[in-house]
Amino acid sequence: MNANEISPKASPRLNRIQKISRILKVCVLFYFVAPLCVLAFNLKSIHLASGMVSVFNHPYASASDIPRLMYLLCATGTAVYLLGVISFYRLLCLYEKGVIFSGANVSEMKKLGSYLAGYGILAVAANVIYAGGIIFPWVLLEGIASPWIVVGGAIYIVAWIMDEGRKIQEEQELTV
Amino acid sequence: MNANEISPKASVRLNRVKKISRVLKVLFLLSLLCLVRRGYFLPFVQRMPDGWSLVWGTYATFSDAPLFAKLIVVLAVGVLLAAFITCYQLLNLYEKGIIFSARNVQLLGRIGCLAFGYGLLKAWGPVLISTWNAWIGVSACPLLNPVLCGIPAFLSSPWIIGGLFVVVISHIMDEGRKIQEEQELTV
Repeated sequence: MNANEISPKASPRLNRIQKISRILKVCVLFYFVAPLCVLAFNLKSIHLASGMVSVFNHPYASASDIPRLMYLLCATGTAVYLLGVISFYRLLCLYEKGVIFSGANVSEMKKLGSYLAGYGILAVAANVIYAGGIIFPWVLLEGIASPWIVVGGAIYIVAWIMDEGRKIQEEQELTV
Repeated sequence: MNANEISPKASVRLNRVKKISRVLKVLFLLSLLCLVRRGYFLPFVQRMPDGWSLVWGTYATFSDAPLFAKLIVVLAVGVLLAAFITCYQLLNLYEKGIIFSARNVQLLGRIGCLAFGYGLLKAWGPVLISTWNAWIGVSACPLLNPVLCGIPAFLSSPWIIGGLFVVVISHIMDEGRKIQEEQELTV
């Protein structure tokens, strides 16, 4: 058998990865598109003027009470969130193609980690604005305990270490 | 140069990985010590001006809180401690220069499962307490509908989504690692 040929056992594994990635892609699309559809079908029953408006889980009596800076944070947060979803989708596309330990994977994982951590930082900034100032040590503790920052940071670090490991392996293969 | 010898460039990279892992381990321990010292370690527990907030319920004293709420706090502490230990073990492996081994992937998967478990406790804690209270007869019916409150909380929890993501990534990495191993063995 040729050394570059995929072994019979490896092929079912690759198929399994591709199948999982495809299912996950559908789940991701459903997860993000379904709420938008629900919102679109229920637009008539939503009364923003009479209800509370919540930005980053902070309630405001009406839309006019929301500070301008909060609008900016909300818009940036939405953009960062969407970029994160796109990165995740691209990562799944790479897995579907059977590309698992490449530079492109690591780059997408790093991007995803940065977006998640960025969203967490925006959420902490929103808390500071809502509280009307920095309350030490709560801000620091929120930063440490924020799941977005923790998960995003962890994904970024793991991706960076994977990248270094991949480069070491590549250099080892080239060293004769 | 011998084929098995580590190239100078690779050695620099390995040293960098080891250094970062060591720094992270120290930061990790310091943050844990800070949390314990300040008394903020117990998850889902907050000292309020007029009492205690336990799993999003407010009580005048800590002992007023229902046993089920305390059980959820104890479970969350266990999950957090297990996650800390697993992260430390993973950083230990990185420090040794072991990056793509089966053990690494196993630890990553475990971290994902623990994050998922913590998210479940956080999202479903209040619903579980309310259902338990209704079941033992403290309240006539559950105050929180398990379907209406539980499912949105489940779907919007970053711990649950992040945990699932890490589990799936570790599974795919494990399969990729096995494929690489099999490829190397196939001649």
